[in-house]
Formats: sequence, structure tokens, C-alpha cells
Amino acid sequence: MSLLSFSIKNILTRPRRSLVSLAGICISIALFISVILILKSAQAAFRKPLQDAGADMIVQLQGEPCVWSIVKLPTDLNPIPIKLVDKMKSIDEVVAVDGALITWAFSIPTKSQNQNTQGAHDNYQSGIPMNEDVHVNEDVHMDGTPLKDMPVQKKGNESKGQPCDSGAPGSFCEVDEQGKHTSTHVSFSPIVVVGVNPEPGELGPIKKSDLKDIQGRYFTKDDNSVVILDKEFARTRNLKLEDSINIGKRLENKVIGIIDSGYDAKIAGAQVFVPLKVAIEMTERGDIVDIVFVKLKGGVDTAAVKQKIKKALANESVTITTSRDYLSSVAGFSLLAQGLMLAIFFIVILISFLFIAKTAFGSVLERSGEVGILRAVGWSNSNIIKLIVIENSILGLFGGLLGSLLGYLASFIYKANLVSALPYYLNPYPPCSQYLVKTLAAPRVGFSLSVFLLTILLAVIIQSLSGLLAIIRILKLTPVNATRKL
Amino acid sequence: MSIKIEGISKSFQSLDKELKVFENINLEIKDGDILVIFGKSGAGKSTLLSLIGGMDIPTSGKVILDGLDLSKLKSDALAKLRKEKIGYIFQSFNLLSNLKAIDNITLPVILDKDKDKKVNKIMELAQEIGIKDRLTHLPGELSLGEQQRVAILRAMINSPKIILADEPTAHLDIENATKIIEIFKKLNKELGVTIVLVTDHEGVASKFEQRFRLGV
Repeated sequence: MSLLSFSIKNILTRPRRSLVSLAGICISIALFISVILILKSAQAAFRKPLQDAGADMIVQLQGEPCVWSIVKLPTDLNPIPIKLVDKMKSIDEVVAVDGALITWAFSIPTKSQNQNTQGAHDNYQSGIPMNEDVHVNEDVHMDGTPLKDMPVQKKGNESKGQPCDSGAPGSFCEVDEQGKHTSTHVSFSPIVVVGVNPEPGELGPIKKSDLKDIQGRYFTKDDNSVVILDKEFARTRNLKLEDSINIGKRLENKVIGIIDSGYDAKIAGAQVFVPLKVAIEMTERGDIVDIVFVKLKGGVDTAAVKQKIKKALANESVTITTSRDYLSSVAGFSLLAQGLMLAIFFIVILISFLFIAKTAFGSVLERSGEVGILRAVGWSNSNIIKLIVIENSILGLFGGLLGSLLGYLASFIYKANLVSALPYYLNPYPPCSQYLVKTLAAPRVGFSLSVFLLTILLAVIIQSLSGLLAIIRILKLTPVNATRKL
Repeated sequence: MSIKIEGISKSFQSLDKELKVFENINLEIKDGDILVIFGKSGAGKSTLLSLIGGMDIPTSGKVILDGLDLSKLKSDALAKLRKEKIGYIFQSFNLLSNLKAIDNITLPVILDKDKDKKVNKIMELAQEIGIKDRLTHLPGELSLGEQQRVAILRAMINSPKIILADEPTAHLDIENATKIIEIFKKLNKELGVTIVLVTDHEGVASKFEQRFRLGV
């Protein structure tokens, strides 16, 4: 019989002791791996939106909600002149800067669009029927006010495309060439339209690397009345390549591309993308953007860069978000809480491993009598040490394996209940949006072979090392003294 | 194999007191002898036997086996000596409760390449002492007498040159006790095995010519 088969026999013929050891390892490893996976996946999920944008910093100007217009900036976002964006590029620590213009466009759907939306996604408010009557969509206003309580302006504003009343968002009047009212349209479910750089780099809502998955094509410099749709938006609207869509006052914009932005929260994610110059024209507020993506050089002091950006913008109320701020904002973690979490993490690891070590040590120490007999019948110390190490390695291996599986299971269960939304200032979607917005940071517990193997290896090492220490202690006793503990 | 004990003493430290078990014992057992150590309970018979088997360290004095001073040997050398030359029968059997009787018997040779040969040989003895049918049982399923016979077989599996037996017949009926004693005598006579028996039973001691009384 080999030492290995004798070890296995020893484990199997002592089921209670083996199960206690396995349970100890299993619980410790499960605790260890679930804490690692949950923290890892949560952090990855919270960092993903910034990572996806390829940015280290997001710069925004926030202020009072801007007045309503058919194409407006999202609530609280104020314009940043493009010349100031160029100024940011000159900061030493900055590698690249790119701006985008997020807007809410109260569109006038085409007849075909209205037809297309029949039977589309249940949660989507289909838009406005083209008739003379005011149609008020259900639910709530973008600021959260129930729509039934909102004042609705029917007719009266003489300027084409202008709001009938700035206090009545969602309604506007159209007049014909003779200056006569032709229709009044009200939409309370604006489309989120983002103007992006037609020459994509590695920053922003659509990066060069995202284009490999585009259906159709991306913008060219000369594109004007064309749009790229988010895949989910296209699906719910039943829109395909070559179809047309109305955005604000711009009618019949041809769909040239459909892009899948995935499930994750996306900063400046949109339902419809247009070239930046088109978005600028639509908002009619000059050369502006309202979100700036900044890529920094490695290892720079972000606090110092923040100050330089504030100085460049000459505006103290600028909001600059880094991944750390994002984590604080989304997860509600202050720096202190993050530090505390880290401390808890290390304590959990320490307790897990101490628990394994203590169980293994105690379990071997209990076997002093048995070791005494083995020595009495002539087993060499080296064979006894090998026996204990092999037994503990087997227990560590299976305990680690079961614990890892249990840890993954716990993480999957926990992950199902952990969903965090993008902070409101990074979320371009109106609160009343009926569209399935991708603003959630959902942690994913991916299987990591390296974590899996490393954990099992750690369990084996700690278990066998603890067993080794215990057996060395027992071997210091004479065989007679050891057998007295039987 | 001869055994020489020179001025051996053993004491234990109990709290702040030193408990002397015995002092300055000198004894010589010639190769092929049978010696019975007898005496009252607590006289130190088992302690003396464990010192002879290199299982414990004397407080002073020497144990010399075939000219080899045990105090000079390291732990693994002592283990090798115990395995190859000494068969030790514990008073309380010291069987491993998780292993079947046969595994307990083969424990000293379980890693040896010639294990099967040794096992076949010991089976004849198992038959002789009436334990063969019980070898697939765990110690907990055996009577005290059966456990004792298993312990005896374990001590004999390596065909030792010395058998150190601590109360080897204590739990046996007269018939089996007699069988065991006969086996010891046979081993001694036919193979020249040196045997040291410990007993507090005058009747058992009287069956052997050389006796050493320990204590008063």
C-alpha cells in the first residue's frame, strides 16, 4: 500500500473527523472567495461605465435646469463651450479630451414610425399621433410630476418649432407658411440624442474599438441627416438600417448604423447618436458640449488635475467625476467606508485562513496517540510527516474545491440582489423614460480560473502547513508520551 | 539479541515534585533468553519495558541492545530498530480504531514492498491463535482478548529479534493465555527470539525460568 492510498483510507475511515475538517475548510474558503468575488465584481461594475468610456475623468457643468425647448440639455446640465474643451487639452497631465453633447429631443414621429411602434415594446410610449388634438401620454413628466397635473398648452405660439409656453414642456406649435397653426404635438418621452465625434478615438460614448460590432457604418465628416441607433432602441421602435426617424425639428434622418451598447450602464449612452455638429445645430446654443471625457497620464495626482480643469473652465461649480468619486457616489461609499471595507476584507481573509489553520492544527494534534503508535511500530518521522501532509493536502484540495463552488454560488445569489444605478448626473435619461435604460451597474461574477486555482492552492498550502506544524510538535514527544494521549 | 541495562533510573516531573519510578536498575538479558519482569502495579514494569524498546528516554543510565547504546540513536534510527528488531505489545493494545484488525496487524509493514509475504506468514499464526476469522473487523467490534491477539500479531509481523510484551495475557482466558505463552516459548526455542514479558500475575511469571522482580 502506498502512502497515498493509506492516506485516503485514513480519511475515509474517519468520516466524522474528515467531514469536520472539510466543513471548516469549505466555510472558510467559501467566505474568502465570496468576499473576493463580490468586491471584485462590484468594483468592476462600478468602474465599468468610466472604463467603457475610456476615460479617467468626466467633466460636466451643473446648474439650474435649462428652459424647455424641443431639443434641450438634460436636467441640470449646462453647456461647456468647445473652446474650453480645447483648453483642457493643454493641461500637462492630460493625454486626450473629447466632448459629447447629450440632449433630450422631443421628436415628431413620422406616420410610419407611429405604425411601426404599434405592437412594439410594451413599456415604450410610442410617441405622438399626428392629429390636431393634444395627446398627453400617461405616466409622469420628466421632472417627476404626474402628467395629468401638468399644464398643457394647446395652441398659441406663433413661432414654428418653439414651445407654446416655456412653462409647459412637451408642447409646441407648428404654423404653416401663412403663419396659421397646423398642428400641436406633445411628447413627454423625449429621445436621448447624443452628438458624438465623427472621428472616434479611444474616448467617449462610442470609441474606435466599439465600431467593430457596428451594424451598418459609422459617421463620416460630411454626414448630416443621418443617425446611429442603439440596438435596443431600434428593436423597440422596430427601426432598421435605411429607415428614417424624426429628431426634434429634424425630420427624416436616415439610420446608417445600429450599435449594441450592451447591458451595462453607459455614460452618455444614447438612444440615438448624431454627429456632434448636428447636435450643436439642434440645440441652437452655439459650439457647446455638455460632457467631457478626459484621459490622464498614468499615476498623476487627480486632485491637482481637477483644480487645473476648474481653473481652465473658470468655474468652481464644475462636476468632475473619477472612478473613485463614482464608486463613492454609486455605492455610497465614503473614503472612510472604502478604507473600512478594505480592512474588513483583510480581516475576513485572515479569519478564513486562521480558521483553516486552527482546524487543521487541532485535527492533527488530536492524533498524537495514533502518531505514537505509528512510531512505536517503526514508522519513520519522514513517513509520518508525509502521511499527514498528504492527508491534509487531500482535505485542503476537496475542501477548497467545495468551498470555491459554495463561494461562487453565494456570490451569484448576492449578485442577483446587487444592482446600482448610475448617479443622476451621469445618467442622460429622463426620469420618466419608458425606454429600457442602460443605467444600471450590475456586477457580474465571472468564473476566474486563476482565482479558483489560487484559492484551492491556498487551501491546500494552509491546510498542509498547519498539519505539518502540528505533526512536528507531536514528533517532539517520545512514542510512549504520544500514545498516552490516545 | 542481547539487552543490557546499566544503572537506569526513571522519574517524572509532576507539578513541582519529582516522582521516582525506579532507580539504578542493572539488568542483562542474553540473546535468546526469556525474562519475566514482575511486580506490583505501579512498580514501573511498563516504564522499564518502554525504555528497553527505545520508546522513552531514561532519566539516567543506558539501554544497550546488541552493543548499541539507544541514547546515542536519533529518532528515525530508533524507529528503524523498533521496526526491524523489536516487536512491542502494549498493555492497552494501542490498536487504531479506524483500521480493521488486518490493517492494524500489517501497520508496521504497510509501506514495505514484501508486505504480502509477511502477511501470509502471519496468517498462519492468526489461525493458530484463533483470530483469523475476525481480521476484517474493527477493533471496537472485537473482544478484549481478540484485540490482544491482534496486538500480538502486529508485534510479530516483522519476525522481530526481541519481543517486549506488556501483560500479553492479561485479557485472555486460560486456554488462549496458555497458547500465547507456548507461542512465545516456541519462537524463543525455534528462532532464538529474545523475549521480555511484563506481568503482575505470579502464575504467568512462574511459567518462566528467569524472573526479575521490580519493586518490593
